[in-house]
Amino acid sequence: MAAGPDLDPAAFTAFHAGTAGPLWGYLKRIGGDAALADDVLQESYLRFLSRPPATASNERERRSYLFQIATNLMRDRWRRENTERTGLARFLPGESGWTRGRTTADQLDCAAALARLRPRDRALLWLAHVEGYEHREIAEILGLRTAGVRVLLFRARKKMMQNLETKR
Amino acid sequence: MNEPNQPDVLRDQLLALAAETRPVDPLPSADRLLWKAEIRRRLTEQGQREDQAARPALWGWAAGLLAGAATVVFFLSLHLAQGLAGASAPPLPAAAWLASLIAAPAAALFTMGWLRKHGAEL
Repeated sequence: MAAGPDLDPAAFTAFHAGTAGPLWGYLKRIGGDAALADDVLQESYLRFLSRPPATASNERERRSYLFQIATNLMRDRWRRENTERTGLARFLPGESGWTRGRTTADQLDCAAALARLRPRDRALLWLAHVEGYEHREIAEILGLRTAGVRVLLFRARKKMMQNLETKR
Repeated sequence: MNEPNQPDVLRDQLLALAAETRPVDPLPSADRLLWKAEIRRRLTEQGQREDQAARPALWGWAAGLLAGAATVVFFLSLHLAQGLAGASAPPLPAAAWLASLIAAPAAALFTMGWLRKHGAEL
């Protein structure tokens, strides 16, 4: 059972343990739907296993590649099903189980403010601030030019801050 | 990725949100994903093998069809040329007549068989 040229099953298990939770969170927050996140997460790993990264030499690059696959799959879903708007509606607080357990008012505000951004802006903010990716890596994951990421990220932050201010 | 000139409040809030964002249902395990990937790989390979096995036959059918059509066109053009030249033209050799008599029905039979086999796919 192959898991790529440089990733045996044991290594894949460790990779999966370190990436599944964060990837699901990313997909949930940019897509706004838990079931969609489940589907895309599984498909992302299957694509990763069937087409392992040719150049990724370390954990971080493999992780970046996985997020890139997941982003592309999510984008394909949006294009195919045209669910961007309905996904956004499902993402709004109070619609469904969008968070679990105790959630503070600040987090509620943050989730709602994030939900009001465009999907690309959500992904930009999440990748930069939650996943801690550099501009070059974000550009690869989202299919953008590296030079443009700084500007887009600045705008996304600005919109997010405006949304947060509006909520208060 | 740090933005040193930006306030950290946004990052803090996003990190807190990330900590709260957990799967509702259990995620598929690594073993299950590896197993599914293996099944998919085998199915893909099987499909590729079947495609490769079917390819020579398909090319053979296509080549035969072209040969039959070319033969029919060739002999029809010969007949046409003879008709235009009138009675003064020498008659076609017996072998050519025989070949034209065999080739046309063979091409028709072949086309019918091919359509019967692949007609549903068209």
